[in-house]
Amino acid sequence: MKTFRVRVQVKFKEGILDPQAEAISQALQSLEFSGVIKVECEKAFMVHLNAENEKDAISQGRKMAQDLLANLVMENFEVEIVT
Amino acid sequence: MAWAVLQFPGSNCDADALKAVRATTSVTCDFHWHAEPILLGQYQVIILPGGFSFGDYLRTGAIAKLSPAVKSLPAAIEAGAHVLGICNGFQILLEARLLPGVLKVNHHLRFVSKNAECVIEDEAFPWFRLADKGNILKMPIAHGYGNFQAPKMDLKESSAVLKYRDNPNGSVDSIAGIYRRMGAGSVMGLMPHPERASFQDLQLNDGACFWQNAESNLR
Repeated sequence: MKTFRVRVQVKFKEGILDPQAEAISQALQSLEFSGVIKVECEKAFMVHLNAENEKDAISQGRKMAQDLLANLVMENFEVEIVT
Repeated sequence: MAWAVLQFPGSNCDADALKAVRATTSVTCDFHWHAEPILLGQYQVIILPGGFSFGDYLRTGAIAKLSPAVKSLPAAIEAGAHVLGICNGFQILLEARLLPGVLKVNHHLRFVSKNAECVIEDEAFPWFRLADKGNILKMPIAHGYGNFQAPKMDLKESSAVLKYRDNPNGSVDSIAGIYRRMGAGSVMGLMPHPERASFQDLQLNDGACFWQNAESNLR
């Protein structure tokens, strides 16, 4: 068993409107960031866990995302090992 | 057979729901703590009340769906229980995949708290009869995440039984509540609060029909 840090990143699926991201985008534009085109809000979870190997750690992370961390009706996720 | 109001850490419409049922019907109704699984045939009607659950951490209802009471709901419904999720309770039913779709943040990003008029669009045993179709119910809404969205296909197995007359939150097709049959029971979720509109002295008692209809239809 080794300890890994697994980063689970959750974001809205393409085409799902995110009014919060829209509001942040407008707020940035109202500051001096007139070049802002679009903002996407994402959530990230850094999970520290014990696993046999990297493959096992990734697979645990994916299962966590499917079962709890993401709502697959509206969200996608990506899982990676952080060293 | 008895009715139950589930209680989660953070539920705050639980007492209102219990009081509304007791005031408008003669059924036996008690609280049921979320950590206890629900037994087959234990309850005829199970109400998931509004408020919060587990701080609404992660996503509203995401943690509550893992509680023993919610995990035991599918079997109880198949065996004949009728489940009504109100506001936060609706959000829990969606996270538990007992109803299709999601509740997103209101499209205008503001919390809405007001009375909303809703139209009954279809029958929904035991809550609405076919004769109730077209009736208008005025009930309070109070939510930040009430913007109901569902892929079109999902809505085929469920029906949009309650719609806002004046869409307050951006919900697709102005949907305020959805319903589906499941085995011998049923599941209904809605954002308006019938339990806050069940008393004549509040001059707002359109919600009483939920409890009275269910009592008479399940007799």
